[in-house]
Amino acid sequence: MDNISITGAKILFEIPVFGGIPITETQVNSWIVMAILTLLCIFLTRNLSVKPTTKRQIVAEWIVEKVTGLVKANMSEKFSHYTPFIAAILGLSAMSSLLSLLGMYPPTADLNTVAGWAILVFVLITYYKIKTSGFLGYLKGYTQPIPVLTPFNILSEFSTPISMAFRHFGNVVSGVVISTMLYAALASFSVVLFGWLPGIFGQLAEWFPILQIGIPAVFSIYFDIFSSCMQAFIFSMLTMLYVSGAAESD
Amino acid sequence: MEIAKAIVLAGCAIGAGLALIAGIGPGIGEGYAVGKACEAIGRQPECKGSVTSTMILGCAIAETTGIYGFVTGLLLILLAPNLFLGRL
Amino acid sequence: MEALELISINAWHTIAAICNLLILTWVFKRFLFKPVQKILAERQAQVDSMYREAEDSRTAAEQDRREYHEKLENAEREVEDIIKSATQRAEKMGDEIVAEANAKADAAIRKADADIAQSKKKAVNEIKNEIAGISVSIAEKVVEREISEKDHEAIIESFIEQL
Repeated sequence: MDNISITGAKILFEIPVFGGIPITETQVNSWIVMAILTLLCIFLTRNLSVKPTTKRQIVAEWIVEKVTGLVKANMSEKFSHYTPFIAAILGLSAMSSLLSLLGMYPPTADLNTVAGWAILVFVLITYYKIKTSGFLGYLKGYTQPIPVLTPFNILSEFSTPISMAFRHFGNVVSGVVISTMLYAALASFSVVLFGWLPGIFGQLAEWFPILQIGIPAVFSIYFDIFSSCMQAFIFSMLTMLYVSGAAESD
Repeated sequence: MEIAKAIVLAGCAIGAGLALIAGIGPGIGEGYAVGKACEAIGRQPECKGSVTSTMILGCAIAETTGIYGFVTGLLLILLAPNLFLGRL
Repeated sequence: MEALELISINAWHTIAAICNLLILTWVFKRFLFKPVQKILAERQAQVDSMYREAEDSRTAAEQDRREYHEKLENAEREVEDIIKSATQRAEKMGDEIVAEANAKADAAIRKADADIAQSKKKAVNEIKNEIAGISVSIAEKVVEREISEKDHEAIIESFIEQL
């Protein structure tokens, strides 16, 4: 039971500039995900023809049409150039979270990753608010409807990225924590179950916890697959709603 | 000193447990939302898609408070003991 | 191996995450959306041109049909005209024939009448001559002398005239 440790990403090495930038599993896994997605894009869009002949092309067109439809349904027509950004959020978030299926550290379980995305969304929201109502109008928006509420308005404004980041992070991390605890519990349980066997079998049960096969998969279906896709969808959905809402606000 | 450490650890653990009470709210709220969504789908089955996606979005937002509780619990268990024990 | 705390903020990692997202956005735009949207636009253009072609050929077919219809109507009208004119001509011809026949018949009748009249005249003349001859011979027989041939004849002529 001593080997349970719930920590963040492991530091693989440090770049010795600016007082050392640690390169962690998060970074490496993000790059792996980006490489996978890039290769997938290139693979899917190879040999495109006007008459679709391959399944690849049908899948590529399906993805493009779905994301375009999603953006069109949730943002206005003038935000159609946001489609690749939304697709990137969807792909990066879902694939990062799905990495935990392979037993790798999901980059979205690192607060830095989702905080970065949320900060980007916050910057976009602020940019569109200032663009639509001007800088003074933006500042004036904090004193609406009465000046007394200004602190609360500022609080609610800045809680948007924080809640977005923590929502995504918390959902993924809860999956990670629960699966870590489940693995540890199954390990000790298999030792309890088979450890009394004489000779090599008892040793084997300790060295190779047999119960870890299969049972975590059932929980993985919810915590990894369902939750990952759901959080990716929700994050992109909230991004679209916040950004288009910021552009529409008077 | 030992007793102080014990009090800090116990406080953190109790605090984490109390923080997870926050899970009650989203549970009730999401259950209510899903029930209403089921009613809506039963009344208008042709709106199933939009009702479902709206419900999921609402559930996700309602879940935020629960997630806050969870994160607070994690902070209390993982970070707070080191933080407070370091000061002792 | 050393690890970060579960909840820790590192500015570099945050910036790296933002950069990753932006790079992936660019990648998606460049390698997924641009080619697929190009293909979709091409297909749309093709479909449009096909529709336009179909519309064109439909219009052409419609025009052809209208032309044929017109031609057919013209032909029918022509046929009617021809029949009408032929009928008229035939009627005219018939009338002419009938008129000619009537004329001919009239002429024949007139000729026959004339012939008959002439024959009658002739016959009458002959009869007159005969009668004259006979009368002359009778008169010769009656008045054997004193009367010359010429007087005879004159007397007879007058006689016959009074006949």
